[in-house]
Amino acid sequence: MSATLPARAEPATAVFSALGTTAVLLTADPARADDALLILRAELAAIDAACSRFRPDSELSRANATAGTGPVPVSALLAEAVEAALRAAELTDGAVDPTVGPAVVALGYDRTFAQVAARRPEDTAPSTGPATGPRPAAGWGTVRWDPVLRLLRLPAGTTLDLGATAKALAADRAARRAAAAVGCGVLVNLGGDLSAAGEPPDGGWRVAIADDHAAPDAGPGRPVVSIRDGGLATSGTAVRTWRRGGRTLHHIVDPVTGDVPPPVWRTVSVAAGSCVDANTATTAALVLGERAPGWLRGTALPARLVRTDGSVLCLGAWPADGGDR
Amino acid sequence: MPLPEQPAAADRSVQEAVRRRERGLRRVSTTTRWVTAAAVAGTAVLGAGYAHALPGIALPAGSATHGNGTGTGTSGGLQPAGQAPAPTTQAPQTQSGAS
Repeated sequence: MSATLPARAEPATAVFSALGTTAVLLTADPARADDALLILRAELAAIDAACSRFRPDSELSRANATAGTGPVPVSALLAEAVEAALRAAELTDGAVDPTVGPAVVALGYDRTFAQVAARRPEDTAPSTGPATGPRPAAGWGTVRWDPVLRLLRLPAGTTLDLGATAKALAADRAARRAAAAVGCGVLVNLGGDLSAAGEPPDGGWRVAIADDHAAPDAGPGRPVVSIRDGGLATSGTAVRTWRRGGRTLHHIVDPVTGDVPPPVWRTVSVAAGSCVDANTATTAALVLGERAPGWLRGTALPARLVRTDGSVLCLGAWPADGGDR
Repeated sequence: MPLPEQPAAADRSVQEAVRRRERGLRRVSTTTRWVTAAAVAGTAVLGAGYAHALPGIALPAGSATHGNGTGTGTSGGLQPAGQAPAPTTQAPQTQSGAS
């Protein structure tokens, strides 16, 4: 005689637009999904108000406007975002640098991406003036930061762009807060950057890996992995692109040159203890190019890299594509 | 009536007094140098300690302590997850890709 266990319900799924991308919330206990969603929305609103470089009224925009003058006190949330960005810069030896703001703007990403994408290429063509060429970052070491008093001082001409870490930080914060509040597993996916907290469903959270987070189901060929906790991020150069000066540009910028890095990897995925750490590693890998595998091996993080020709390189404990089929 | 001191004895007395005075001056000089050094060192220590509390004085980012209260891990490198991704044949619940 065998007993039939009741099938556990699939997690509840909520999808909406936020932070200029797609937000997905998975809640292991569907009965707690509404509460988890409220927490996620509140977290996203707070991050946007603190860290957006596209909102003139954001706390970051106001802090950037003080560059070259005295220090400015910042909120606990922006302080956490600044700390995450500086830590990412430190751990990547500057490959992920929050002072790339002017470089990104000089390349034409000077407004929300929806507005950049809608702009005609001729409107973004660089002028002949020297100020519109690639602009190397000032370097994160020029940022003066007092973590005790939460005082931020930027050198003149420098602005912070927290895009490489703030979205991931939002995913981490929201997943942790929501899981603690609703008492079940929660996964937050912000534009392909995932953070999981709490007890996951049986078998873990199942995540497809793709070039584009918003791509429709690509069929059985795409790899699917399960994770139980921490973060998983994917960064790429084939999404969020625009044309300028006869070149296709994207949002990943090498702080040293102020330009897009040479095309080596199309997509890099990394799993880590947090979404911030995962996204730090993926962004650094794209900037490092051919040096990325060696650097990633040093981190011991599981990683999957896709070259521009489509060939795949799995590092660490990342399973080979089709490994369990 | 006491006899006047012999000139040689008077010279020795004067020379001894001069030596005592010079020893005293050396001790005063040595003490002054030690006090000066201690004052300079104390000023540097206290200055470094309290510089933090003065508005407008902050450490360069490279020398700041990160990770305190960030919730994103602490120093020591990028942190691994509790478990590495595992392959699965089941349908995905969500998708990770560039954005």
